[in-house]
Amino acid sequence: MEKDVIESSIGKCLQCLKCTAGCPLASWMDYKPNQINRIIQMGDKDRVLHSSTIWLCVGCQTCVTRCPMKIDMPHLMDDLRKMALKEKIPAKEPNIALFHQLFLNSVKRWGRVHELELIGLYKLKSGQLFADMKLGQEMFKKGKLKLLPEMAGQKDLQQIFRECK
Amino acid sequence: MMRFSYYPGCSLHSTGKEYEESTEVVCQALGIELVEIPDWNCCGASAAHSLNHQLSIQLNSRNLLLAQDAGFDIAVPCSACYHNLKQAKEELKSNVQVRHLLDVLYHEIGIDNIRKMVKRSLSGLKVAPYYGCLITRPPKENSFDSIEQPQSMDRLLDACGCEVMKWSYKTDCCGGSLSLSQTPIVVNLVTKLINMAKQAGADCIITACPMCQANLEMRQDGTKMPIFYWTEVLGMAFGIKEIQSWFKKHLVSPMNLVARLNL
Ligand code: SF4
Ligand code: SF4
Repeated sequence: MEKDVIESSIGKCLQCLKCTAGCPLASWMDYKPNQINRIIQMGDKDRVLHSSTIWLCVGCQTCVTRCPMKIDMPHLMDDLRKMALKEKIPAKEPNIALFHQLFLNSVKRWGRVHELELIGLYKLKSGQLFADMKLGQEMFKKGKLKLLPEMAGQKDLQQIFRECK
Repeated sequence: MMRFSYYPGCSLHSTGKEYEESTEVVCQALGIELVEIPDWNCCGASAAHSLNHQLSIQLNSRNLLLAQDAGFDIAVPCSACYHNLKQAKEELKSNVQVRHLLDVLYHEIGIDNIRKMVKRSLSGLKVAPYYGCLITRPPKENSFDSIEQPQSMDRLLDACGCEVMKWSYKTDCCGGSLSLSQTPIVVNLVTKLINMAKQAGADCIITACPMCQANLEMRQDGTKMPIFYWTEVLGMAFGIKEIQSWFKKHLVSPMNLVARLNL
């Protein structure tokens, strides 16, 4: 979905609030999903790109499932995040952005995500060094976090990541 | 013998190991051959589409092509992988069918055949079936279950003799990928799910997604409700011996519950 698609689709929004009523994250968002559409309709895209909403949306698909106009909000949120990154707008929820980025780095490096490394790097970079310590140890003991990564698709993935900048 | 290309996804090789093990054993018992897609790559989980929609499509396109070479439809136990593969399949108009393992067992094997496999009825086990977000949403023309009121897992569990509790939260969100980056939100969402399952009279929640299972186990607050994979429940009912080794991997031990009901 690129710019014109976003605008033509959002133009159809009825402000019926069905999306917001069912959104599991709405209570934590600075602008509710329907408000995101309204703000875009009013031409203030910048405000949307600075919102916590675009980062808190988990893509649960509840809104698009229930929207009478079939407006694909989760896809819109994907595109808004991408725009925010491109315009180097600092994420209002920096840890969420950081986690996604580290996850992708891991996929790029190995082809399959390496959880142990991902968690370690996330802790270091977010500064949340001691969160979930016991839980992590427990998972390691139960063999749920592997020491070594699994590798896959090396050459193909380098190309895919290059092409999808 | 029914044959599928099998896409386990990263979680089933790590945090959801018991889902992989129970999936393999149960499918074998039912005569489903799962042929792992060679050299499959990560589906990008929530991260890829969150930062770069096209990247998510391309990552999954590679897996679709590998499955196409193998010539079978894809069976996926993880709901997040299932969603990403399906999304790519639709955007790229690929011919490979992407099917959730729940769909395969429910529609290809069928309740009657599952019931025939049950060696010990799990009567007394009060379960809350939990589908989460990405099994039924977003709805498509060929969706395999009802959007707001899915029944496939309910019926499979019923066939195993479980007492299936009715509750209104079976497709509510667990907080997904925010588990590490916004823990308090996930604790809030998960605790609500646990309380609602309890209020409905359930002793445990049954999931079909490794991310939901991990969030429900790790982020419940002040309770110790066991969270099973649906394939583990089938394994128990089929009298499969390995169940103990699956249950040992759980972060919330289901041993007391299993012992209390003599299962
Ligand atoms: S449900 Fe659809 S039409 Fe209604 S407010 Fe939300 S986006 Fe607009
Ligand atoms: S997809 Fe995003 S905006 Fe829509 S209901 Fe889910 S969390 Fe809310």
